[in-house]
Amino acid sequence: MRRKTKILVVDDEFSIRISLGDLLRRDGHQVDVAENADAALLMLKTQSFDLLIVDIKMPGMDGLEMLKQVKEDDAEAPVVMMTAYGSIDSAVKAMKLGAIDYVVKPFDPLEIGMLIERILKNQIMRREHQLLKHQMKTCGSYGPMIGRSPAMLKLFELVEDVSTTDSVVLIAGESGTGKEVLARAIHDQSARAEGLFVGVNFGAFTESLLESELFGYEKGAFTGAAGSKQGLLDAAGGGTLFLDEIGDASPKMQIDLLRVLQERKFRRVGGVKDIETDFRVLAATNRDLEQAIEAGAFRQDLYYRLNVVQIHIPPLRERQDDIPALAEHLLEKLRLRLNKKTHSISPEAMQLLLNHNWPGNVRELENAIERALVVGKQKQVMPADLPIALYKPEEVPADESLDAWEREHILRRLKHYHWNISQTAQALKIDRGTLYTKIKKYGLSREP
Amino acid sequence: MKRLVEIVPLGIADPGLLSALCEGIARSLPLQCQIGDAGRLPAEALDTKRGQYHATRILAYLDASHRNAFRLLGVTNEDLFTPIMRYLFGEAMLPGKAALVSTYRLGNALPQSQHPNDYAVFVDRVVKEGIHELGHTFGLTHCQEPRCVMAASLDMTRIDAKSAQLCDYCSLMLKDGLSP
Repeated sequence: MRRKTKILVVDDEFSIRISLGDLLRRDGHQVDVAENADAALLMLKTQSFDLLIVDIKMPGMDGLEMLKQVKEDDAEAPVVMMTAYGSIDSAVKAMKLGAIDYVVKPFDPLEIGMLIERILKNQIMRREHQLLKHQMKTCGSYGPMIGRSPAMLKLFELVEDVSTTDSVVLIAGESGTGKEVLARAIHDQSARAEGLFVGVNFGAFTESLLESELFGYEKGAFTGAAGSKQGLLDAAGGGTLFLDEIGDASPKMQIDLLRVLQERKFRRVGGVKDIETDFRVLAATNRDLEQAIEAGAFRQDLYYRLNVVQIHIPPLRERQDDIPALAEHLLEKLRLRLNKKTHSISPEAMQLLLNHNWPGNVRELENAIERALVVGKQKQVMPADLPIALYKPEEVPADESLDAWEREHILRRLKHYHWNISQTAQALKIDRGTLYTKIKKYGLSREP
Repeated sequence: MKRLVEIVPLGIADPGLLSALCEGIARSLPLQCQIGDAGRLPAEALDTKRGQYHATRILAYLDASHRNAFRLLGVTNEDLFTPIMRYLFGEAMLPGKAALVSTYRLGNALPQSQHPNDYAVFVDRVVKEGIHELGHTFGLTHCQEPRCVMAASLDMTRIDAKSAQLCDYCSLMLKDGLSP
């Protein structure tokens, strides 16, 4: 299954808009239509499309002029022009202006099917290329960890020191601070970077499954073990073994791990032979392990084996200065992945990001930005695009009647969509006529 | 409502073809099928300039003239078009009640007695296209799996390459479309 692509069809002929829309929807695309270039350009101000299919000959602004304006705003915008038989000259002009291709109306099923398939494949490749370029740009010496706060600069210094050694490192930090990202960064800079980075999450599996995954098993070790299987400890040989959520390891697993760390040997489940291994250990936890030791839930000897060097990642609320750069980085990364045109964060929205205390840390910030990109209709992230935990809508009207609530809600949505009646009606799931009636009823008007 | 597909012959008189189509539908989809009374192509669907029939208008006619039907599949040997397409093998409401298949370009001129193998290929194509268009009426879109009957029918090669069955993903989507 592929991602639903969004296509805008621009044609003044109603029957063409309907039949082309139907054709594209049958291919699984999401289709919007515009009856003239002005309406299309207005839509492009707030929405992004994977492909524009534009008729050359239209009353008012023609397709070529529209193409020029689209390209001025976004040189990479993918536009295919439609032309009538015998108007090839205009099609050639369109290609010179930057159209990807042109297609003669009416279409041949094979021709149009293959053309759209080819264009969309190229689009996906282009986006992946941009994403890779962005990742290469942002993956500095500490991987995609962003921060200029004193706490993070100190952390980067420590990371640099431990990366050149083979020491066991315990990464501590709240959920969502990026412990695995940091572990990968250490691995990538270490002498073991050529080997595998093998992660195992102790909070995600049952003990028996974890045991067979980690140690592997021999044929006949348990019902269903038809052959022997290599475990993650084998796979990590020459590389790095990342023990995530180590605080969740069961007492038996803690003993097994202690033996591996002490002797650098292990046995597969059902096996009698010791297997020697060579990997670096990085561990991470969001729990206070010293407290867990006191409570008898974590072995002290294992803690000493793991806590050779400890790196603490500060929670996001303690490094507020990093939020703008981090938010911009996440916006760029997600914008490319989701193919959205939103390119910046409005000062008001940024202020909300700065005001929030981020209990879910960077992961929560990433989710907030992703949500804003999905629901946002403008080129800037606006306050209303952010999750409710950050954006608290305007105050409750003093009058608690249903009418007062409805009035407030409609007014807020109208403002959000800049008084675009169609978009507001669509968002409110009512027809335009009903919206007009309500605007009149409540005496709503656009502020000067 | 009974999950019944009613085949509506629109000027086509080939009992063998219609039976094969009905059996193919009942085999591939969790639906019952019966051949209904013959209908006629609505005069307003004919575009005399193009010498073709407007598929969307035929669908509207089928839909309006069979108000109580669960699903309808019109079968015609006339050539179909929509304003944007030069020709079509079939058309359907997405989603909706009515679907349509045309034998015109699927090789309907092949004489049964002289080329039995060609006729078998022709029947096979009509069955696949009928199932494909009915799939659209349940909201299924074109599938990327080339063997799935919902793969786009761009030309004869692709129609012949696919099976008359839905892939696992489309089967699941159909089940969803059938659920009340």
